[in-house]
Amino acid sequence: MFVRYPPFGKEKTDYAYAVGRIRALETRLLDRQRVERLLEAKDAEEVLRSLQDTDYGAYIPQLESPLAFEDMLEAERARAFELFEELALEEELVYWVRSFYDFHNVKVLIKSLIAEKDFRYALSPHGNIPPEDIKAIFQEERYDKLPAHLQTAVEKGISSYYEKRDPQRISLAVDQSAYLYLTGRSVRDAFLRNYFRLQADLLNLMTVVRLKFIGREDLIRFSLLPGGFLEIERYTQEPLDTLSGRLYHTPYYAIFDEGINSLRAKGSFSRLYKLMDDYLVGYLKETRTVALGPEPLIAYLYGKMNEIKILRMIFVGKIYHMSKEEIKERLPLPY
Amino acid sequence: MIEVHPTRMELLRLKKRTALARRGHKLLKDKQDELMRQLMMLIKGIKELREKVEEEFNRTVSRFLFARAAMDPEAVEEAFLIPKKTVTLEVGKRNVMNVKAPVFKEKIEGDILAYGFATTTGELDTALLALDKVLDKIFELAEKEKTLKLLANEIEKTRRRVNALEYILIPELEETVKYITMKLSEMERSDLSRLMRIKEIVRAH
Repeated sequence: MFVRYPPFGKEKTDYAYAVGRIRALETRLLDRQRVERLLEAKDAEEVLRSLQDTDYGAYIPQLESPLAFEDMLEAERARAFELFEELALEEELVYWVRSFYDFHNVKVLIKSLIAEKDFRYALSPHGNIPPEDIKAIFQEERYDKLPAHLQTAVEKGISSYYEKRDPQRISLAVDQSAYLYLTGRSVRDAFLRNYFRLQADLLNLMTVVRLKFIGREDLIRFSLLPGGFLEIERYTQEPLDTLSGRLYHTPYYAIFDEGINSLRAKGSFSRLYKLMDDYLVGYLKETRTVALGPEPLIAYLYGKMNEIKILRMIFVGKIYHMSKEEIKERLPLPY
Repeated sequence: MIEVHPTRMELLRLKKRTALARRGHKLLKDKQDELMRQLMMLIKGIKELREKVEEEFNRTVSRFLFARAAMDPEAVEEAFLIPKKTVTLEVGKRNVMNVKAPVFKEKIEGDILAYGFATTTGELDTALLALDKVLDKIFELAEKEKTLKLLANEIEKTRRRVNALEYILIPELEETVKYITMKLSEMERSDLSRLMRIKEIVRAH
């Protein structure tokens, strides 16, 4: 097992231009001081005003009120994807990143099929297959038009549902298929694959903690994701008190040691999730030393998503009059 | 005053009506007092319960909203597409001083956690489970508040009736009785004096 982060790919000189542009764009990302200033704002309107001179400034005139902040965040997410698509030299790279949303759309459409309702509003526009096309595939039941990994996901999703007629099983099965694909050999970028592998480990450990904390251990065996670095089955039987101890030899020890202690003391997952997000952001930051290659590009995209998450939490916190400390406790570090 | 013919029959009828109105007034007054007592008892319980529910609900909702903020919007939508939890509410009735107060009997089935764990957070679990706990109290509060509203309406209605009897009907009846009594005495006196006058005229001849 690696000490803190797994190693990733070799340098690719083709990416000189892309990395140059990304390095310039990275300076426009929100840093700690800026996030701190946003936290100091007295309300959502002031947060919005403080964002005038950032990448988000362009969207502000179109916003009817600070309550419509989600439109701004969504537009910025779409822009980040477009930039990624523009700069990525291999189409596959975009395909792998967008695949995550294809799996999301598969979950929505299977649920739509089961409930016999139109859940179009829940479809993501960020997948490889446009929402209308994937919807048409499901309507015509022409699943053979889907790529093999999505066909498997559909099959597993539907059959898992019918085992117990439980809609939760659809999400669990499709998520498993998603991580099987994203952490598998099909994703031929070591950095991206490792990012998903780290995510799989952390999400699995988090699922174990979540379900143990709420006393629903019976769900653990259906909920674990494949593809992580850890042999997760070794940790599922461990009581919450000793779980972090068992993780001592892994890079996740610090997260779960501090996080579980905070969970037991306060009954809140905030710290645990913050530490998990920080760890993943730390992995993205490893690309700061990469001079040439697609890694800084991938890291920028996920860093941007992290930033969007930070802003969403600040907006929601300010709109619902949460204290600065309450919001800050959960905020991940910016990329 | 009621427009009536000042006859003995009318007098008797009105006296009976007055007695009935007084009895009705007493009964309604008693009902109003009892309703008031029930209302006060209920208000005390409701105030405490509402404060508790509001506090818990607000805390839960802000927890839920913040938990939602940590997730992608489409993941939130997907998580709640098909809920597993069903709530069936049977509404019965109970009689409180002739007020049909509702009795809620809720049947809650299924699990509130109906989503996958890869795209959702533990904060969402705890927020939903807290919401689940508040649900019972929300039903209790709804039942009590509806009863309170019905009792308040009934008190209002009863008070209007009591006031109508006390300040309009009974005084009017009493006044009319008094008027008829006076009119009858007056008639009696004039009959008597007429008779005496006739008697005098007869004697003079």
